[in-house]
Order: sequence, then C-alpha cells, then structure tokens
Amino acid sequence: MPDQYTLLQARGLSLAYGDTPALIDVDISLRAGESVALMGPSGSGKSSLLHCIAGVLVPDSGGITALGQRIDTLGEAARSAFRLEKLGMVFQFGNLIPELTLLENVMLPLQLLGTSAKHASARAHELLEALDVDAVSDRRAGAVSGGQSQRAAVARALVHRPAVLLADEPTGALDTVSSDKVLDAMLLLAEELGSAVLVVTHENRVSAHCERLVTLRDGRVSSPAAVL
Amino acid sequence: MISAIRLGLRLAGLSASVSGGAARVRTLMVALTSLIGTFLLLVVGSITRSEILQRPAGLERGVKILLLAVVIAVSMPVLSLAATSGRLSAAMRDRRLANLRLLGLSARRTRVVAAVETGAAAVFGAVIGCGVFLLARPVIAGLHPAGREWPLHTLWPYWWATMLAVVTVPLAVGAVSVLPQRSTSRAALLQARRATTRRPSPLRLLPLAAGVALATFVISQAENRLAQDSGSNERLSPYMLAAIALLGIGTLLAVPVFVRLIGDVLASRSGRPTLLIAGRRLQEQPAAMTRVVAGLLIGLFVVTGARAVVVAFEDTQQYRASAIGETTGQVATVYTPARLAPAVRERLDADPDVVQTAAFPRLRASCHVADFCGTAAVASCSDFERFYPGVKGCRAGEPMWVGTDGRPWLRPGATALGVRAELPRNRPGTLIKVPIPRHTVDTDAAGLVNSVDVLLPPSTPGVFELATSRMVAIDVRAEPGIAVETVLDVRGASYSTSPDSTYFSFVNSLRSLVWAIAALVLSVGLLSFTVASIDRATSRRSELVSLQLVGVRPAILRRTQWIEIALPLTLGSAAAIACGLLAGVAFLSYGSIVDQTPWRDTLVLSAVAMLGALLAASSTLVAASPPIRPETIRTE
Amino acid sequence: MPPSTTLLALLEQEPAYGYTLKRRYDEHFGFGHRLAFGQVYAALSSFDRNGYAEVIGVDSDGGPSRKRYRITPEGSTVVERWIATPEPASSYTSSTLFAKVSVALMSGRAANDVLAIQRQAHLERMRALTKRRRTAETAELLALTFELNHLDADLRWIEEAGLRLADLKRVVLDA
Repeated sequence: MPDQYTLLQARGLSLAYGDTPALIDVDISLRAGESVALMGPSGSGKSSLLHCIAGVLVPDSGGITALGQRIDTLGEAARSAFRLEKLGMVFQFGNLIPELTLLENVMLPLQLLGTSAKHASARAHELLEALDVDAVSDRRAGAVSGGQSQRAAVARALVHRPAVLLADEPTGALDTVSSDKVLDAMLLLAEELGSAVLVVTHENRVSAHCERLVTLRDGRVSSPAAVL
Repeated sequence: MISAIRLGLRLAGLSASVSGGAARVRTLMVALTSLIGTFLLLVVGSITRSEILQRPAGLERGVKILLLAVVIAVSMPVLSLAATSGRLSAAMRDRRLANLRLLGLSARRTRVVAAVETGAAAVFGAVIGCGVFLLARPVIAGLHPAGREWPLHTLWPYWWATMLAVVTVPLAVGAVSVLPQRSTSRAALLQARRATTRRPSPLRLLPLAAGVALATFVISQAENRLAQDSGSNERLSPYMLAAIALLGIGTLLAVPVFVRLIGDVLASRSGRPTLLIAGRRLQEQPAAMTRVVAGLLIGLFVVTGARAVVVAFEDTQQYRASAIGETTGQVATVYTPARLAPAVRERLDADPDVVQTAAFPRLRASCHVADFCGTAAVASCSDFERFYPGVKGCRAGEPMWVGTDGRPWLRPGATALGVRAELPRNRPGTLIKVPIPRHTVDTDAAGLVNSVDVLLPPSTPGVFELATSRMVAIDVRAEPGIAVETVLDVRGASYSTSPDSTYFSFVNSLRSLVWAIAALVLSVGLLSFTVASIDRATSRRSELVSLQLVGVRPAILRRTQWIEIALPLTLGSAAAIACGLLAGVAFLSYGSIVDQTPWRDTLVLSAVAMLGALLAASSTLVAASPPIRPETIRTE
Repeated sequence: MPPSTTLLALLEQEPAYGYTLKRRYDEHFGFGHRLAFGQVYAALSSFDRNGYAEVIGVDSDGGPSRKRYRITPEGSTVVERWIATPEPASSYTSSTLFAKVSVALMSGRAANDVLAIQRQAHLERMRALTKRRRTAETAELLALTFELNHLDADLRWIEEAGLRLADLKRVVLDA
C-alpha cells in the first residue's frame, strides 16, 4: 500500500508489442531511500518495465504515479521534462557525449534545468569527487576508461538530486571489482539523497547490493524469491 | 572468392535473408549517389561533345578552357560525392571488417568483401544512371538554355568519356571503401584515446595568406600600370597563376582552422549546453566536416572565379551596346528615298515586332570643312528623347554632341561644321555650315544611338530641307529580345546599321553556363554533405537516444546538430566564394579590367549557397533526435 | 552430505529392503562414491529406533535374514520438514540441494519451491555479506568476496536447475 514514503507506484501495468505480451498486470512500488533489484531471464520484460517507469514507453493499461503525479497520461514533452527533473538514468554503456569532458557531461542536466554554470560546476565536482573521478574531470568522455566513464555516468544521473534513479545493467560492461565500487558509490550517494533506486540486472552480485528483489518472469512479477 | 562476394552482398543488405534496415538505407544512398554522379558526368560529357561538334573549324582557345573548367567544376563535387558515399558508416564497417580479419579471412578476401559491399550498389546505381541519361537525352536536346542548341544526334559523349563516366564513380566508391582498411581503425582508436585533440596548425593559414597577398599585389600592380598607361601586364602572369592556385588550395586548408576557432568560442560560452556540445564536436574534428565539403568548396571557387572571368567578355563596347538593346529593344536604321518614306514607315509600324519608328533625317558632316567625319541626325530634343529614352541633357534649339564631345577631333581654329545630304552611292551633296555644338547629350552607352555623333535641331537654317530632299533615315526599334534584322529582312527593308547579336548571345550563354554549373555544383555538393551528415548523426544514435532518455528535449539536440553542420558549411562556402572572387578579380586586372567585379552575381551566389547550406543542415535534423526505442538504448 | 534423511525420503516412496534402498541411492545420488552397507543399515536401525520407520516383515529364504522397512507418519513429517527447510546459505550446499530437489520430484512435491526458498536464503546471505563488505578491510574483504563468489556460483546453479526441472523430473521418474 502506498504511504507517505512511496515515491513511485505502478499498478496493473500491461504492455504488448503486437501480439507478444511484454508485461502482464505488473505492480511495483519504490519507496524513498530504497534500492530494488529487478531481475529476470532475457525477454522477461525487465527493460520494458524500466522504460514504462521512465516514461519512454506508455503502458497499454494500468497506471504509474510518481511523486503524486500520473506520468503515463502525460504528453511526450511533459514526460521528457519529468525525466529531466525527477529521474536519473544510468545505462550499460555510459552513453556520455564523447566530445565533452567528464565535468561538462555531469553539468549537462543541471544546465538544462537552468542552473548557473558556476553552481553546476561546483555541484558536478562534488559528485565526481565522491565517485573518485574528479582527477580526470577535464578529460574527454571518449578518452577515459570504461569504469571512469561509468562513474561519471552515475554522477550525471545523480547531479540534479533526482527522486528516482533507474539503472539498466549499470555494470554490465565492467569487471567485478569496478562493478562493486561503482554500485557501492551509486547506492551510497542515492541513499544520502533519499532517492529510490531501481536496478535492472541479471547478476546476483549486483542484486545483492539492493535491499529488495523483484523478479519478472514472462512479463509477470513472480514471488519475491521465485527461481528465475 | 564466391563466398566473399556473397558475404559482401549480404552485408550490403541486398540478399533477401537479411533484414538489416540500416544497411539497406546505406546501400540505397550509395546507389543513389552513384546514379546521380554517373548521370551528371554523362550529361556534361555529351554536352561538351555537342559543343565541340558544332564548331568544327576548331574551337577558340577561350572556349576550350571554359569547357575544361566546366568538366572540372562538375567532376570535383561528383567525385567527392562518390567518396563520401563510399565511406558511409566507415567506423562501423571498419570494425566489422577487422572482425572478419580476426576470424581468419585473408586481407585480399576482406577487401573483396568490402569492395562488393559498396561496389555492388555503386555499379547498380551507375547502370541506372546510364538508363536515366538515355531517357533524358531528348529532354536535354529540347532545352535551349540561353540560345545554345544541342541537337539530339550530337548529344553523345565520346566513347572513352562514356567508359570513364560509367567506370569512375563505382571505382571511386569501391576504392575508398577498400583503401583505408586496418590503418584507419587503428588510427581512429589512437585518435579517440588521445586526451585532447590536436588543434589544426595555424601554418595551414599560410597558403591562403600568401594567395591573398599575391592577388592583392597583382591587382594593385595592374591598376598602377593602367594608370600609367604602360601597356601589357604580361610580366604579371606567373604571379597571377600562383595567386589563383594558392587561393584555391589555401581555402581548403584554412577552413578547419576557422572551424576549430569557432568551436573554441562556442565551447567557452559553456552557459549554453547547445552551443557547448556543438562547439566541442567542432573542436573534436574540425577537418572532418571540411573534408566532406571539399568538393563543394572547389566547385564554388571555380564557379565564382569563372563568373568573374565572364566579366572580361561583358566589358566590351559590343556587348554593352547590344545588352542595352536587348532590354529596351534593338534599333536599326533604314535608309529609303524620301518619296517612299511614309509607306515604309507605315509598313514597319504595322509589324507587331516593332515598338516604334522615327524619321530622323541624317546628314554627313564634311571631313574637309572641319576635319570631323561623322553623322548628324536632324531631330527635336523631344522627338529624340521619346525614341531614345536613355538620353539626357538635350538642349532644345542648339546643336548637340551625342555621347562624346567631338571638339578635340576638330581642326584647330574651326568655326563651323559642314554637313551634306546623304546621297546614294556616296555622291557629295550640297554643303551647308552649321555652328559647332558646345554641349553634349548624355547617353547610357555610346552605341545606344545608332551612329549619330551630332544632333541638329530642325530649326537650323536649311538643314531640314537638305536632309529630307533625297534619302530619309528611319530608325526602327524592335521588341526587346527580337533581333531587329529579322524584322527588317521579313519586311524587305534595306538597312545599314544594327547591333551584333551573336556576340551578345555568346556572352549570355557563357553566363548562363556559369550559373548552370553553379547550380549543379551546389546541389551535388550539398547532397553529399547531407548524406554524410545524416550518416554521422545515425552513427551517434545511441548517444542521442540516451540524451533524450535523460530528459534532453529533441529540440536541443536538433539545434546542436544544426549549428554543428550549418556553421562549417556556410563558413566554407563564404570563404570559397570570397577567394574565388579574389582570384577572378586578379585575373581581370591582369587583363586590364578594373572596377568591374561582378558583386551582384557573387552576392546572389553567396545567398543561394548559404540558403542551400541551411536547408541541407535542416534536412539532416530528422536524424538528430531519433525515436526512443528500447532496442536502440542498449546497443553500444 | 548426511545421507540419512535422503534414505528416509527414498523409503517414503515405497517400502524397501536395505539393499534396494542402497541401490536406489547409488543410482540417483552416488556419483562415484557409493554408500557402504554398514551406513545403510545403521541409518535404518536409527530410523527404527526413532520411530521414523518400522519393520514390516523378514525374509530368509535360505540366506541371511532380510528386513523390509516402511516409513511411519513421523518419518514422513521429518522428510517434509527437511525438504521445506533451506540449507544454511553456505557454499557447497548444492549436492544436498540436488538430493532435495530430486526427492521432491519423486514424491510429487513442488521442487520449484525448494529452489525458490534456497535462492531466497542465498540472496539474503549475499545481501548481508555485501553490506559487510562495504566497511571490510582487505583480509576480511577477500574472505567475504570468496564466499560471495561461491554463493553466486550456487545461485547460478539454482537458476539453471530451475530451468531444467522438467528434464530432471523425467530422469528421476524413469529411474
């Protein structure tokens, strides 16, 4: 049941690509400061669910409420604005702009939100520092290692203090040690900000970083611990 | 080998079993560019041959050079287009081919795969291009641009030119897709790893600076010599040629420096994300965009230069006279016995191609009395101005010089002009004396008034009677654009003077040729630029999708892309046009023509080029904000 | 792995002689190391003593006398409880787990649930270890990582077993 700490609540989500159902009557909720791992075999609907929550896909039925606002009924532009203000996203491959420096990449969301360059730069440095990549903040994103670029991506996702952080296989391209470090830093920062975190992963070691596990199978949520 | 070919076809998306949408789009673009390239080369080749066949007596040297310039101006952008399409999605394909090498495919077979992948589409496009040319021949023969005629039977390229045209484009496409194997992916990797991209060396500006300096030198020298009337500029010719070469090469070399500079300026204003991203992208690869527009830039340089060269033809008395005639209608003078004059005038007035006629009797100024051999027309100022709207400053009641003050040619101490009536077979008529004119009637061009040097008012004693006694002159103005000779021939009137319209139409055709080539160069250059830009944007797709996911509005991405593309394009075009103009002016001043820069046409060309550039940039915007689809988010 | 409960579970299928039980055990779970007769008979007599099984007859056609055992309701409860309880989430639980899953399949119990609760236990353990790892120093960190990686391997085994349950069921029932 939603309470005052519930940041995001999805109820009865169903989505189909043509005749193929991707999500069937899925319920999921995220509470402030909570980290949730979303697991499931390939094709189980993990990414579809993530994209519904991010407002990229619109579910065929069901509704998503975030911070007291229905987001699935918003228009494209409003959903875009919602993502910019309230969501942070991390992808498997950092997807930073390779021509910009790490600092500029991290400043980007703040600047798009109208923050002054000076303030944005200070805040970006703060996060890059916390993620241990401040030393290379003036290198171009295309010229740093995968781990560094992924840390910067995490910084970019959190720089504007989003309510919800969505991560899609955030460490899929990293080795175990880097992966643990990035996850630790990401979850610690999110916890400090009180953001809810949803991590899509197929790795148990990643899901072990999260407090709660939701498993999808064939588009449905199976029991919290059901075997994949 | 068969398997390598089959693999190449598969990768091109041509085999039915592959559902690679992007590969098919790329293949389509290669085929399309190859089609257009081949078609254009064939058209230019056939028109060139038609021109040559129609002047069997041997071409003038100027025309030969012009045809060569045309072929160069068209082939450069076409080849650049072919090269561009051959390198589409280069990074992705280089990686794929490198993987084939790792699988154990030999270097030779890998090259076969690469060549077949793009070459097949290029050959296909070239074949279709030939077909389109065959279909278009009657249409081209039906065109009469600026009076040129290209009869259908002459509209075939030489056989070797055909071979060249059909082979060149696919070969160029195949070659560029094969040549940079291995070396580039490694270089690209190194480039990507480099912490900061190297700034293009400022030394690149040297050739341009040298070219500008040399051209300025040539122009100033030529002006000095003209002022001192010290004859030929032959001595300057090596400098002039060097200046033109330096300007052409210098433009291409210098554009990356300026692009990088602008990138720096944009990026330093980091308050605006749009400008920042565009600026950084320009800083990253300032030369990449310039390489793509190189063909366009060379084309624009040549075209602007050629437009300036046409001035050399326009800057002649002949041309100006007939040019004015062409806009207000050509004028001829018909001589007829006085008694037939009314009937002749009536007949001419009835002709729909005749605007108006006027009877201005002519007298011949005696060469013996005043040492001034000229023609005098007898007319009142008002009649004269009505027929020749360009004349100004006519004073009623006194004799006037027309166009030029004739007094310097008079014998010193002359007190009067002697005039006689025009008689058949130049028999001398009665001589009467008239006062020497003291003022001059202004005309737009001396040739405007048909061979009249002096205007005598009908009130001058004895003049009118003398002039109308035997032969009468009737001035006839035809409709603009109609050759007055044809009208008179049809009417059977005998005439003495009329403008030379062959020269006029020749210069006109030169100018339309320059414009036609300009249009071609622009559209081909912009096409290849557009194709390359879309390809670049497509290869950035996952980055663009993720930015949109982060919440960046598509409008911002489009604006960024627009700045990134429009800037080097407009800048490059402006530089090429300016340098082309400078080169042209240097050439003109070498030919002792100054103050005749074709500013208006250059401005029009610049405006059209800029507009085209902006349109081309806009047309690539679709690719700047690709739709967010789940499958595009995860791909690396 | 303590084989005794497994033997009890096998006995649940049908009444059996000690020899038959040993053969069936070896068939399903032996994998190269067979049970000694002594182990089997010790287990059976302890079942008898604890009231998990009872002797329902003795054959002695010429040879040594052979006792036939049958599971008691108490014994069935023990089996039930054993299957339903996850193994402590430590490494090397998979062979016991395998036995449980097989037995569950043979007895028509929900083998899926066996895997699910085990996965739950493993994940909880991993979560706890991951949490400790955040503040751990090098030596402890390595120890924790060691265990985490083994748990991870177990979990992957559990997941794969889950995907292959149908195959396993066919094999177990055919045997």
